[in-house]
Amino acid sequence: MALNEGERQAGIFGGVSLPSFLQMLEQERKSCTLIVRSEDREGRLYFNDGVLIDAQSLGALGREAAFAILSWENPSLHVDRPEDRMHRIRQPLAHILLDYATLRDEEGGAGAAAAEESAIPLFDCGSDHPDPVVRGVARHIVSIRGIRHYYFLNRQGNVITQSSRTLKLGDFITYCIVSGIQMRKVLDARGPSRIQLGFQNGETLLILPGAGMIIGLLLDGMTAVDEIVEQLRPALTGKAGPDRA
Amino acid sequence: MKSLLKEISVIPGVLAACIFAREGGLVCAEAGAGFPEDRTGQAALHFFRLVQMAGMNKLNIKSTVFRFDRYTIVCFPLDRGAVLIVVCDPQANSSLVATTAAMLLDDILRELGKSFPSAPWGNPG
Repeated sequence: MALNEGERQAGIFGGVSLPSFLQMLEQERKSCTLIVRSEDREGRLYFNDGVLIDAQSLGALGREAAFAILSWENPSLHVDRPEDRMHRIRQPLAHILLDYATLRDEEGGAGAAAAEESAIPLFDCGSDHPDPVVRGVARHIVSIRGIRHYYFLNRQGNVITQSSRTLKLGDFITYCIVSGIQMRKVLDARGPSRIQLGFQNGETLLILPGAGMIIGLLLDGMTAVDEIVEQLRPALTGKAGPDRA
Repeated sequence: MKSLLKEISVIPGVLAACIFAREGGLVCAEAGAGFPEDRTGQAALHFFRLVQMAGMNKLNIKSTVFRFDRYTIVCFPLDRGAVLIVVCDPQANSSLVATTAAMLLDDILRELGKSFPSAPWGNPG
């Protein structure tokens, strides 16, 4: 259930603890972005139909970011429209809150603070795909900041899996590959090894054709493509290994 | 138009550049020795179709880079149903190529307007 205009304009909520407010969003099955501010920090918790699907704070994403946000004192809460996000959080909200409470009790808050600083992602799951290679690459992708969505296609151009619920780019990605192959013939070259499309809205679509599958990544405007490719290299070359979870 | 393409082609690593229009086909090309002009035109046609496909998917392309083993192709959709493509050496500074091309886009469009005054405004798609 998306928020109506009145709810979006509700602005700052006072006198309600963050865990209580999160549980209220879950119970009411809200789809929204909860913006949490404390001192000069800002974090975002993304809900879809009452399910906490992702979080973002400073350098952290997913559960790690949710823990960091929960550790902030005197937060102000703002509700904004929902976003179509990758599912970086797979645990129910109750588990997240319980794990956070346990961590805080055990470490006196140091654990949550450390989680905020840590560069090691604590993601629950990347994709539920049965293929361990797909699952492994997806899990690697969701740990990289700046990637909005992923699309995995087979060599026939059919979508194997994608993270976006609403944006269908499979056919367009396939057409990009077809265009690249046509150009390759004209130029008498090999490839393409990479296709990078910049859009007027600032987003970038990075297409990486591989031996086994084609990966399309929709990137935020400020994301450096070369850095993304570098971070993905272990997963794409198989050095990260298939996911055996 | 030729002089504008020359400004791009003098960048180190640029092998060829061309403008392809829906109306008129290959409008102008600037290719170095050993790189056939007609190849740039054919590559541009494929990019032109890609921009059309993007438009059908409500995607507004600003620029596109194709990386091959021997070449990097930097492409831009222009107004008036035209596209600009630049063929580079893989080691060329494609960022500089893209910035230079973006800087010249207004002048290229002005020249295109003289060549095709009747062509409609808007992306090729």
